[in-house]
Amino acid sequence: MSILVDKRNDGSMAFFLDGDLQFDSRDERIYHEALALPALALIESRSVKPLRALIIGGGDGLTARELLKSARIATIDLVDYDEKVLQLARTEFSTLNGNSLGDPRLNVTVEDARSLISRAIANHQKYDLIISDLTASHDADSAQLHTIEFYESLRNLLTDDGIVAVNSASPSGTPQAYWSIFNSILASSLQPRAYRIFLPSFAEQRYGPDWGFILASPRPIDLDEVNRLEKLVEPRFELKNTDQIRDMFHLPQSVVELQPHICAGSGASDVLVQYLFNPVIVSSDDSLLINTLTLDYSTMTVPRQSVSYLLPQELQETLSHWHDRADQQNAVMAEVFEIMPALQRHQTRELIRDFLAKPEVFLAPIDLNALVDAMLKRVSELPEKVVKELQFLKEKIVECCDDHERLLELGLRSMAIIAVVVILGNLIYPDAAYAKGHPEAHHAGTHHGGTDHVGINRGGINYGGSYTNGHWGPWFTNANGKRVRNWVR
Amino acid sequence: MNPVRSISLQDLGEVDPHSPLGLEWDQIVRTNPASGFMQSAHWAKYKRQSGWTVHHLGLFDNDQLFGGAIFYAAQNAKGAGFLAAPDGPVLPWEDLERAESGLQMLVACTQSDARSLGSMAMRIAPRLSALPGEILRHFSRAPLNLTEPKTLYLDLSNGPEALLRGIKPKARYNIGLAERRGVSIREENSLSAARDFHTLMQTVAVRNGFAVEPLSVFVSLIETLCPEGVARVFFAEHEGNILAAMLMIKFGDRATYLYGGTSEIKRNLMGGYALHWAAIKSACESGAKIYDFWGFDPGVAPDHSYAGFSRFKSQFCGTSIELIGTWDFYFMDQLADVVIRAFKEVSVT
Repeated sequence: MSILVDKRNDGSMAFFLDGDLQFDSRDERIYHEALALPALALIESRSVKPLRALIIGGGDGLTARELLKSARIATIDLVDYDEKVLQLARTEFSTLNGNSLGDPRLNVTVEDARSLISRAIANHQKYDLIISDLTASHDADSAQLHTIEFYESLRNLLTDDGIVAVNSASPSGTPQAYWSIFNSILASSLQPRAYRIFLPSFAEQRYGPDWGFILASPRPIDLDEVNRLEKLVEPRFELKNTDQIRDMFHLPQSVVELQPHICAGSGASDVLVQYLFNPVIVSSDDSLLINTLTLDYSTMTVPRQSVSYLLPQELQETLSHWHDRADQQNAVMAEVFEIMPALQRHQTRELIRDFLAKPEVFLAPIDLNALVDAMLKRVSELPEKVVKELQFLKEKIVECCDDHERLLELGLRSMAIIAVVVILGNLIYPDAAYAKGHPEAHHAGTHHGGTDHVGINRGGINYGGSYTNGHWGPWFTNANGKRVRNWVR
Repeated sequence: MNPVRSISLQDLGEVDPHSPLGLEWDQIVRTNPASGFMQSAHWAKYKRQSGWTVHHLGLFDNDQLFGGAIFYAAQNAKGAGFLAAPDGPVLPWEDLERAESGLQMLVACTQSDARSLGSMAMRIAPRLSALPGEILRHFSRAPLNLTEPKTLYLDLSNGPEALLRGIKPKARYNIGLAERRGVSIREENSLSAARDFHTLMQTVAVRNGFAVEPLSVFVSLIETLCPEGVARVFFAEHEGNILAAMLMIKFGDRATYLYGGTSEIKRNLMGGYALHWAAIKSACESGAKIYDFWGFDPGVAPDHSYAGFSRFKSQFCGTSIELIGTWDFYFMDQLADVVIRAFKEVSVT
């Protein structure tokens, strides 16, 4: 994990983990007060006993700072796997976090949160308040911290009145990812509520126009309960009053309407990561807002995905309905390449589109005949329909003399599937995102920048072939004003 | 008659660049003209830190390490991944028989482990200027290059003074102009360089329509490789403004201009020339014999966006180099496996 503390001349600082902004000292209080204080206010109103809290992640000590403002907090267990971040919390960030890690009420454990949670469940420990302050998921492993099973384990740790607050994603910027986390919580028999803030530093990093959290509890958090909240801990710097909390629960209608259609992650599923890498654009029109505290999720069925698929859902659906559009299979072939999803962070639609300008180049190194033979040796594993498709493809390979471009033009589903797999393999290689244009994908001169004295140089992979035949340079039309898929927390 | 050889292959695991094995490996890579920094234990450490899977195989001849390969792969590729060896594999290409034996062992090993490694193909890019006999007959030209196959080498062996005399007058003039106008060069190898460097790279990317790697790449690279002296970051500045920046890799006798760009401001001060000249001098001082401009093709159309880059680089009067590029070898059973998986996924939907 790469760590960067960017100290500015004005005394402010920004903290990056793996290039993702974790906090900017200029506005971090907006984030941390919004994550911690609504949950704290709720549990304080629900319980009169001394409170036990668990912070998952949050090694920078800033969420702990917020909870420690309450005299009702008796103990906080903080679990973070990164010792380096905790060390920063004790040194570079100690002024900012009020030396929270030195507070005698705080116990720090350095390990994977899942291990601590399993142990705590085995020991029948209970918490009144859990704050999940994790970095964004960029891979299947970290996505496990937002699965139904994970939230079920948090449910087991919570008292019946307990509250959990979860750092999530941008409801307007990455709505499917946001609702995927929400739906995992909902499917875990916790009762979630969606809320959001506006955070300039995150918006500046293009994480989305807003930033979302989720509150949840074994028993419902309803409008009346939130309306009854009166008291908030002191001191506060950004969160003015409880009215402001109530306002946070208003989300754009277009965002809210997506919720029933989004899969919760379960088991080995990496659906959350796919949602993060491939956000749909929704209108974030603030003139049509829904108060999420008024929504009734009690009878809602949540779609779930429990398998880690090779082919993302959209591709699966298009390829499985191939034969329904028998008269337009070339169009379907084009559509398949058009909807090819991002497989790594920072891969953009434009980049992928250009990557696929000539899909046949990816098939060039493959002996298709040998591949089909290898597959046909395993007939017993394949549905009959697939065997027939492969046998037909074999005939066509011979007919087309192994000309990959012609084979793709035939509009056969079998060819499309083979091409998709090979292209997925090429795209999943992380440096591929920064490739340069392949030789014949574009005409020279599509992009201009040649007057640069030095221009840009970059390491890593680039398209091959004979550069003298064509395009050597930028094939990526992006950059200005396009979304960069950086995700935080 | 050839002496009886006992070539064997071992998985070297995670090799610390400072361990005896790491030092031995890097020395083999350094002295192999067809290899480069991307096969070094240092680069592997950086890649591992950046979240890649690194698979390091060593070839032994009577227990003496003589080559091998470091393969990089994406995590969680679900069987569709590539095992990529940029600048590799590291083989004694001058001894075709031995190189072929080594390559066969690498292929056999990776092929048998393909499933557990989640990969369907091997991708290699040795820095060879001609195909090594028939050794790559089972490989095919890849659709992507792992490293720049066309580049420009500047011979540093005669030192900076001779180099300055040898470059084109316009470049010499611009270097002098930058100096006279007060352009200064700062080498900054701490993490604080990462943000400024990335910001500049983003500016250049927007101007030229490129994608640029995320900040984390530069943080990891600087954090891992600058303390080792493998990576060095230079800024050309004028009165507090950054005019240009570059990240240079020094490994073995080659210094490589890996990343860099110029800013939008004060372009008339020729910061790019000053920067390259400073980096070239610095490369000379650190014992490099070659300065690799990492990408050069004077043959592109004049209005091609890379034409300008090549024109700029050509003013330093280096030697145009053309390598064989990148080659793929598909593990057919593993490819069939993953395609069958895809067929099943779409058949049950």
